Amino acid sequence: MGLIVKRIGFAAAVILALLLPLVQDRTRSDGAEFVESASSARLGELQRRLTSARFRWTVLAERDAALALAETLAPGSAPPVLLRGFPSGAHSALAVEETARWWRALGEPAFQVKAAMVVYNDKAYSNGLRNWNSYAGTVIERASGAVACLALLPGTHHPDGRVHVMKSQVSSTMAPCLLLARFGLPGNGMGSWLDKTRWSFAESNGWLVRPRSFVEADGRPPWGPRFEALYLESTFRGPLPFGVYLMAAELSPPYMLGAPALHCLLGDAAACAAGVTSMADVSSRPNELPTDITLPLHRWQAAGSGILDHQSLATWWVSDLIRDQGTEKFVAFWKSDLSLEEGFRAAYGQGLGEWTRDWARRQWNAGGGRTEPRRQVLLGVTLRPSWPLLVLFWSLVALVVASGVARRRQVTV
Amino acid sequence: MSRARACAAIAALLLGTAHRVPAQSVTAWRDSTLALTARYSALRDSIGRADSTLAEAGRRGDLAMASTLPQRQFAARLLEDFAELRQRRFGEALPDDRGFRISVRTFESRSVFERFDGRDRNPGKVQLTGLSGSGRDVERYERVDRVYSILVQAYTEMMFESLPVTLRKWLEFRPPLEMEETNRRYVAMYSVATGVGRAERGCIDSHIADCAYVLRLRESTDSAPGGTYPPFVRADLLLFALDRGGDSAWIRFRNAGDVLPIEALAAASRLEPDSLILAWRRDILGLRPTEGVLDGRGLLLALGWGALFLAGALGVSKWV
Repeated sequence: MGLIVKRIGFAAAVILALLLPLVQDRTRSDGAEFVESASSARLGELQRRLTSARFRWTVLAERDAALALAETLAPGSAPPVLLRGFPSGAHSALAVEETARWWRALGEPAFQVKAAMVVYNDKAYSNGLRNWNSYAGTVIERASGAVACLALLPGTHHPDGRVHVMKSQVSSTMAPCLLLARFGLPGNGMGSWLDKTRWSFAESNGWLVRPRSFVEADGRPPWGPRFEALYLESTFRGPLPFGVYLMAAELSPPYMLGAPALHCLLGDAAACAAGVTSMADVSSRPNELPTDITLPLHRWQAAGSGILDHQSLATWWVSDLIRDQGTEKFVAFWKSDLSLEEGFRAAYGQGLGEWTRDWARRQWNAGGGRTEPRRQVLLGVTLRPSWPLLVLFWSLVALVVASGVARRRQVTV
Repeated sequence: MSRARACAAIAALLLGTAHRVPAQSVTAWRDSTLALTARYSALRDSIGRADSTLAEAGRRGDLAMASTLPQRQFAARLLEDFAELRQRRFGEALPDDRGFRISVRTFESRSVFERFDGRDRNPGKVQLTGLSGSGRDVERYERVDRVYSILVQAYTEMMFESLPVTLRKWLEFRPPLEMEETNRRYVAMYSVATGVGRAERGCIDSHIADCAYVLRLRESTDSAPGGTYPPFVRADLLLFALDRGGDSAWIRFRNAGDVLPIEALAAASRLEPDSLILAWRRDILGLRPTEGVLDGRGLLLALGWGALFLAGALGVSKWV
């Protein structure tokens, strides 16, 4: 009986020792009160609403202005850079150079598109506050005879007259226009997928300038992680000493890519295909914004943070498809009226899932930055076959040495 | 009948509220943005000011410290420490003739569970004012245990910005006064002692011209002198010169005007330029460690413990 009581007591002590560190310390030992700062929370909420309202104001105002401008553009000519809302004398050499560079890279456009790069004055919407999430995107207007494609991006005016724009935004907002100028309007399959996904996966112009072997974005994962390993590491560094979290993060499977992406990387072609087509299905988030504009991913994608959810596809998927398979087959895919998967098979002679699987694995294996989990780690057993053998071998050596020493030192009475 | 009417009313209510009317109007969103901006600015300013809750925690010379009530004792200690450091490094100098004000909104360290809940833990405010406080104004938001650092950083930054352009260019960054002095000097010594450039080695070998070059005080006559010391080392030279110069050294340094840095340093330290460089060099190299990493006592201890463990490990097999 006494033994049973002792065992139960020991078990309780172990459980207590395990659970105690999980209890949150809400009060300090000197009795200081935990004070909630309601003001900070209110400020955060106001900022969120303000950002959202301002984004909509910017989008709607600039879209209407761009459509009015489209009437004045000549189809097929090089896109002019138009500055809106800036004082006279303002200029943006970077926007002009980058726009011209991409248009040169395109060569002679195959289709007549009325294209322009519109840089709007970001400060006009700021009302004295710092701007958050200014809209950068593209207006694609197909109602009239010629397709109009206007890239919109915010610019900041400097006292010397320069208008500062972000180089990457010039490229990403031009991307839909360059595709339309080279391949024309897409067929029903591709067109529907692009519209539903707001052209988010056709943001790269790499297909115009980069060789086939080039790996985009320094090998970032083919599906966007929901959170960054480094971010979590910095968060959990405090309570977990000796880099325990970092070690666990590096050795754990990359669940943040979502289960479908993991299945794809492990070779499941159906999961790979679903990872592309499902992007159109998750675009159900109501945004009350016109459908003829492209939007940043977080503005249209339904929030799915679970491990079973599909995460967002890489923004360079379309570009990589062109680079890998060439423009000839891509034209057939682009123009196809079949569904996305059927159109892909008809154009390339292989499944959407198979190609995406190979592409995703190449992208995944090319990475290796510290902010991502180790590339070799996916699912299942991660030990190399040699490791258990080595462990057994060294254990045997240790046993032999120990027993040898013990035998020699044995004392007989 | 009344039941039917009630059902109809509920149905009408549900139909009316089930779908939000899409707002596609530019004007509506503009008005909403402007209204929200006004509310946001007002709230932010009220949080930032919060002057009504501040009470004076102490006064020393032309410096005054105010804080929220729970932070008063802490703020009074801060004032003493800050005033002492300021007197030693800057004397009575101020970054602006109209004074200055440094406000720090504070909170205590939050655990990982509380970090993202948008709340402050024990929020407060500490405000250091010099003269009328109508000159320079700095606001920060920081953990309470870092407030002293923030005060020193902000004040040093303001003093750095009050220097003539030539001296700012030479220093590049404000002196790191928030660092503990011994640490700062050892870091500077490490930079000096481990420099591998030709002029850097020359400075260690007592060539004054090389020292002047690596401290960016004079040009080198050597065709390939190698690199110069980082800004951290130049800041150390400045602080050394201020120490040597005693009272009003910073004022002499700043008021030397747009002259060569070496002249301003000489004015601050009241030493001839070459004497200052030589004195600094002697002082910084004097910090180099003179003993090996492992002394005889340590060696004996390591061997003794090693032997003890070995004896224990061999002896234990007797009982196995």
